[in-house]
Amino acid sequence: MHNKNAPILSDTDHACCMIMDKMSEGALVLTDEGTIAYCNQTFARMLSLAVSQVEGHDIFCFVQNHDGERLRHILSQHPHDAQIEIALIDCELKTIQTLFSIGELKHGPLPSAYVVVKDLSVSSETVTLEDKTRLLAEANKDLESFAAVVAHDLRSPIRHIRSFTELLLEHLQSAADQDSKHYLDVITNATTEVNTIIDRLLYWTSIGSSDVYFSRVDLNVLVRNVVNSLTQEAADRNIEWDIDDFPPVYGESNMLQTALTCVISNALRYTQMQPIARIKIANEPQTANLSNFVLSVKDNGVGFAIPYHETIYDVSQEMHSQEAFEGTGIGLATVKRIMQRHNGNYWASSHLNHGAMFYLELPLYLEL
Amino acid sequence: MSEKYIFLAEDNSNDVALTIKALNKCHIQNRLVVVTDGPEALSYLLSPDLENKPAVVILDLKLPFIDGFEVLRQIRANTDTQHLPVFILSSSVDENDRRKSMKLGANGYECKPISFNEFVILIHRICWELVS
Repeated sequence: MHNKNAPILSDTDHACCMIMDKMSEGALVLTDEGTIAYCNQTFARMLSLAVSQVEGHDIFCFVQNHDGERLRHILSQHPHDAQIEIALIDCELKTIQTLFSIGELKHGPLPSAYVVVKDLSVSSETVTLEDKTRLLAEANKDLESFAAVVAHDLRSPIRHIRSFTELLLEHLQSAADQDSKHYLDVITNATTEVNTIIDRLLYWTSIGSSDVYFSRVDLNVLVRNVVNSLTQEAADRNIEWDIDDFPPVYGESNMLQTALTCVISNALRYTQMQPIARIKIANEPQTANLSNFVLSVKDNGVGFAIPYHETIYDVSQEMHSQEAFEGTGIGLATVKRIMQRHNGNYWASSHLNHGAMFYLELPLYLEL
Repeated sequence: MSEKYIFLAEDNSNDVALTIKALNKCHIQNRLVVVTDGPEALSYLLSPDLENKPAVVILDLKLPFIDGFEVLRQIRANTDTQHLPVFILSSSVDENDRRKSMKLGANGYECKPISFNEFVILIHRICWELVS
């Protein structure tokens, strides 16, 4: 198996050789001039050769010229511990990128070096969680950009369908019978729906955009804006508001206002059947994470059973749902995304006929 | 007095057709000059031979080769054309685009509505000077 001309190895060495043949990395012992005194199976396999075809030869036979010079230079320095990237050439003249870890061997009769050879083309098991997270984030960004471009491109044909349908209706006028008018109405309504879906999709992608500017946001102002405009819209209803004071948060005010509008108008909607709608917007005490705080919206409405609630996080359902949260333009899955973009959180709890609680966790604005 | 006309830079033929119909609906009978890309828009508007300038310039934001922003920028940079009323039209509302349009000196940034009837109202507003 091993070259007869190689230096004679003792029994212990043989045992070590057996272990070394099982290594996932290549292992070499080189003489001062670069002759391969010993190599393990793994190294030979890298070159698609047998051990006997490798031992006794110069390492430089298997290394690209330029790298060979660098290797020669390093070996001449008798390094204690060096690392160098080397391009190996196998028996089919294919290149294999490797990392040579070189160290001096002082125990033999002749000066020599040991080398551990790591194949760089094999994917490492040590891809860090950080790497994976970054790759995932990049893939998501690509998908979002693509979605935004597609959504924008859809606007034109939808506009043409809708506009020319209106022109057709006008053109037919009295010639259009009831059925024709009805069909054209259906087409018109469908274009409105598509347009709304495009709006939601574009808004969704804008949340993840890097263009967003975060700063100190006065939540009290936002909450009062939302409450005032919703109260105006629901002028005919009897609503009791109970609103706490809130600390400033670190965020983007348009997104936060949108999220608040969705959650609070949701509360109004679920309390439609109540003679008096009672909505409490509270500042919840936070003990676990002192850099965040929680805003809760509690209503005395019909509530919902938790299994239903899980489906409202289904984004695809939300994009299509017509009756869900009309007028807010977005749904709860988008609220959740806005909270995540703020490194915050969002959750809800409820019992049927006992109202609902919606929680928004946000990072406090900390004065430096 | 030279005739007043409208200048439109729009690459989509359906949108051009809708603009013509909208102008008809508004009873605007002025001539409409149409170009289909940025370079054409610039070579027309910035030509030193252009004696009669348009009464209104309507620019689609997404134009081939040179976009509406760049055309606007050059219109405003040229002393002969810097006072022209220019409106930017876009398929979607984008606040960044709106801000940029205003910063570059547009008279307005408008979203092309999907409804033709709303588009007529938009054209009426942009070209109100020409409405008879």
